[in-house]
Amino acid sequence: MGQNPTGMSSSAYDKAFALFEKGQVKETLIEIDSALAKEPQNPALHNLRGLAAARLGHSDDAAKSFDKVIELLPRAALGYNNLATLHSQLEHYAEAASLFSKALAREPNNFTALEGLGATLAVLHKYQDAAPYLAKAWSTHPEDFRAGYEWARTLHELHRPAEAQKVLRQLTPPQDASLTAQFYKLSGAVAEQSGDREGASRFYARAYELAPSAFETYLALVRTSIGAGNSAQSLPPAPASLSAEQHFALGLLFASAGDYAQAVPEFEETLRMEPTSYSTSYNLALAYKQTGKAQLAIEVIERAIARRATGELYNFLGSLEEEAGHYVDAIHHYQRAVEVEPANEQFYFDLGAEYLIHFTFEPALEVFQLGTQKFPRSARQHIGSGLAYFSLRRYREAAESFLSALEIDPSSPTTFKAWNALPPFVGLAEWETIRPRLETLAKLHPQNAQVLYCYAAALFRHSISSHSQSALTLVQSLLERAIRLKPGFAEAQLELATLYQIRGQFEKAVANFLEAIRLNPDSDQAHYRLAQTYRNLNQLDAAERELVRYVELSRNRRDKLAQTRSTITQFVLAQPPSSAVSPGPAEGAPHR
Amino acid sequence: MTRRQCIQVLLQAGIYSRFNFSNLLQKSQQTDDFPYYVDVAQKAGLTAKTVIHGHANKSFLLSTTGGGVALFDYDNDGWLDIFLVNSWGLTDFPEGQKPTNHLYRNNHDGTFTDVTAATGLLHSGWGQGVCVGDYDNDGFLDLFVTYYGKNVLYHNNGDGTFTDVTQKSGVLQAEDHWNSGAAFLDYDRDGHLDLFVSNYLGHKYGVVLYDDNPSLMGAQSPVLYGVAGLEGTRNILYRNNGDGTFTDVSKAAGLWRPDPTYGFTPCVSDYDNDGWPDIYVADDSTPSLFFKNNHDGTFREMGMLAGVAFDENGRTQGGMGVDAADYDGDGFLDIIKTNFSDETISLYHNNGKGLFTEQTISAGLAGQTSSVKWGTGFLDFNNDGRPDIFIVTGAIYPPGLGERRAGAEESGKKILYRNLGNGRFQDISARGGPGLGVARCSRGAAFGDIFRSGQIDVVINNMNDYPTLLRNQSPSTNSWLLLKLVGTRTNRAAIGSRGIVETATQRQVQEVRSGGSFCSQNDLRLHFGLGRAREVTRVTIKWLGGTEDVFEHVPTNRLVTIQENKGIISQEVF
Repeated sequence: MGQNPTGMSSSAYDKAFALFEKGQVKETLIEIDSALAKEPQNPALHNLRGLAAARLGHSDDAAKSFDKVIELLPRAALGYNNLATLHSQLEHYAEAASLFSKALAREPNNFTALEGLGATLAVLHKYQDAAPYLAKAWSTHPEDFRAGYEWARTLHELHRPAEAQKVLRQLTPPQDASLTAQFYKLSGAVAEQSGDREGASRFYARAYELAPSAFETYLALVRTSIGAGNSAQSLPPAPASLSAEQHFALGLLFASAGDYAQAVPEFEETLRMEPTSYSTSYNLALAYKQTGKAQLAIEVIERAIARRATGELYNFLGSLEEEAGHYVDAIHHYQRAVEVEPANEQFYFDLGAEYLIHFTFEPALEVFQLGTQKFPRSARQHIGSGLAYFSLRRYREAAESFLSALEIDPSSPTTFKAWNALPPFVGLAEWETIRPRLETLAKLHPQNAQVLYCYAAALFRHSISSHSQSALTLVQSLLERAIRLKPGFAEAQLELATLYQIRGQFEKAVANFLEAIRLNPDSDQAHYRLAQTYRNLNQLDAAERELVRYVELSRNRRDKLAQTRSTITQFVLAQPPSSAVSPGPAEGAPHR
Repeated sequence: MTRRQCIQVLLQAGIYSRFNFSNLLQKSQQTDDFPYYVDVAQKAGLTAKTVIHGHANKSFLLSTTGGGVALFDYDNDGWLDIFLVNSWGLTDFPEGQKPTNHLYRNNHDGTFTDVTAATGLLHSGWGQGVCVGDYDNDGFLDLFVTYYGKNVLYHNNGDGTFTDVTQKSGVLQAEDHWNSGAAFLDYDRDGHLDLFVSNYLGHKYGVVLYDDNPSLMGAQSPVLYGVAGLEGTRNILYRNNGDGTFTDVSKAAGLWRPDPTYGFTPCVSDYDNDGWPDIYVADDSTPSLFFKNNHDGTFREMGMLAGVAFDENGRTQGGMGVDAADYDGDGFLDIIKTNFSDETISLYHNNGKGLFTEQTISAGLAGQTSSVKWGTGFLDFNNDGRPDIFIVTGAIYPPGLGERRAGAEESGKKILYRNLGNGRFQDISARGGPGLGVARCSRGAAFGDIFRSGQIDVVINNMNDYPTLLRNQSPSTNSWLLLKLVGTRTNRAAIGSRGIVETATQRQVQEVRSGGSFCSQNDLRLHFGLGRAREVTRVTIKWLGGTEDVFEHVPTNRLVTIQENKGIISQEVF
């Protein structure tokens, strides 16, 4: 924008421009002002004056000059472009965008206006708006690095990595190391976006070579390199003299990738620089835990608790003591977590779960009972309570607790599993208690297959016991509806088959057992019942075949049970943090 | 007071209330439909405790089993005598205080005399089960006692004494076993009683430490890790050589084909009505086994196909005790099996041909699940001609093993189901008299008309406790018939032979059986309740050897002794 774009040349202008080119900006201004005294309507002189003033940082003065250009050449893009550029430099992006638009209104193919408007809109994160201008700018000047770079960056932001890569491949990075580093960094980002972590890692490595102090580039290099499965050992050294925050960021990155061994020194360094940092203590302890240094983790958390005792830290300490085999200490710390933050549902759950896992059911029950009072909408508190009752063989209360959980979250697979774990006789003994609630639940959720099944299964056992044919008919209807609502509902299919078997409708039973087995080939129960049905049909060979399969499957099931120790452990380990209240970070997740 | 103590107090209060209420019932409202069982053990002189000395704070599986009891007439005086299997301890006992099995002779006056020493039956050790049969066909019932260690066979000398013939007869075990239940049977129908012995775990597991986590003492709920995962065992079959000796034919007979199990109680019956005895074994935590007799000296195990190995869903159960009877009058013997706590009992209805369908829930038998259930029997307590069901329960660890177990005795009730005659049963445990309301840690139970009253009484072996003797004092007006069968070509005790009793309205089938309940022995005589019938239209005896005797118009309310090919040889009116 420095050359005389107006066509109105003069010797004075030439002399001033020569000075401007040499960087003698103040002299340029003196020369221009002198010339303007003679030619006050010369737009070229005003334009050059604006440029010189802008270079000297005299923005207001520069703006006045560009305004004068606009006044003298109202149909030209020149004044608008330069004034827009000035605003852009001053980070007045909205004004800049408006002026570039006016420039384009006057000269629709003006490259400067196209590129300027596109780049400005991109700065404003209006990538969709920016895209057509940058596309047009780059199509008119595909050799222009800046236009191509901005276009590629915008495509990247628009999550169009394939197009961005195409643009980048056609660009030649300039000699400037900084710009080249930016180019490779963008190339890395685009490759990462397209899922090519290996390629991204190579681009980031090039960018980091060119700008070895760029921490952000190094972070990206680490991220993609680890993501590509490369060893952390193959990474170049981090930039020198990182801040605590940067060490922490690196630690988090390694920890998030599961490379806790690499995370440990980063967190250690962070903690050395900021010895009272809460988050660092937490994460360092977490990394220690994950690298098998439970005792170090305990010490870090104990020091952190001495500085600031939070429920989260006590809870974490509880899990560390549990892992170290110090059950009593673990209980103590889980208890402290609850005391320190009694409004945290997670801590109640963890305390109750700790008791459950160690078969100390009565204390577990007390915790979960309190938990259900404090957090009545937390389904898992009710399930925990139910499991404690179940383990204490108080089946009526267990059934009621599971029912409460089902009422809160009728679609929860965990609740469904817990309900199904109840022994068949529970429904019989406690029928009058549970029937109205199940019936109401089924009415409230007529489209919930799981609810219909639970009601049907309980009603089924009761109707067998009471010899109620009408109840059996209702059971059949509920099960058929559950299957219609949820095709592939293996449990309901099995129950329906069993219903036919008990009614002596053996042919129908066989068909339904076969369907149940198709849906869940590993159901030993289905194979066993099918065998008995074949037997009743005097198809003894088929019965024997099913029994052979049953034996295999039941053996597998027993082995699996032995591996997972107990249903309780499965339940506890499967529970995500509650969303009902505001919990701390899930234990095991890095703390940001 | 802790909550548990509070609950115990409330429970005790409930028991006392029930006791008083029952007394009132007896005086004013007692009907034929409800028995009135009273524990008369102490008064009758059953004063010796069954002893298990365990460990104060360590749990051994060995402390959990045993407790067999037998009802049999050892001296042929027409009155049932009682044999109680005793146990042992993990520490020695002072000389003169060693626990021994006890034989109590019936004094015919409601009391018994301990004749253990006089009869030569003093024996100490980890006794488990017992069964009775006349293995040498001399007319006197012999006694077989199983042990954690080596079993003992006693020959009844006919003069009021017994002789240990274990070694002489060839049943002395070369190695120690954890033997459990036993039953005499004539599996090859040669007229000589053979012997089946079930085994629980490998002998070494009796003293495997089942210690709870010491750091949790006082806080942790008692957890028995159970037998799961331990090495199972195989059953034993001894063939009677006909000369007073036996040969182990277990393998040749096909008993070792199934995978090892944790066997408890055998129940031998002709389940498919083919005239040959089959063997069902209640197994703990493993499939219960059903050995079908192939009529050629071998058996085929077909528990799964028969539908008696598991519950109806194919889940293994903690099988303990077992009995067989035709509860619905269809002519086929059905099976009742007791199981661990949190499991229902199992009622397997015989569909004919030895195939069964579980009917526990539909029969109304799914309600009692809280206790570990052990000895059981079909008995007709009200003589209405419909077999009812009696079950004894007990905590897995007996009381008195140490402070830790003091609070564990929360079960131990007796369960009584009345047969309603429509395939269903009604739980009348709370209305069976005060004898049912006292909780004891029971194992074996044996059923028979001990007091010659025409009604069925029950004797129960309680762990670390005195025995229970439940006398049915209900004034039943229903008729009855007691049959004593004497074989000639068939084995002398007629074990395996059937009695079929028909009145104008009913047809009942029973079989003379050795073993059953939980490692115990019921009266070998067949007791039939007859309702309001004043005579039996027809009595048919199907001797195990294949012959048949038929008697018509037999009067009721008496003991009738029938000898094979000779007919009725005596009748005694009680």
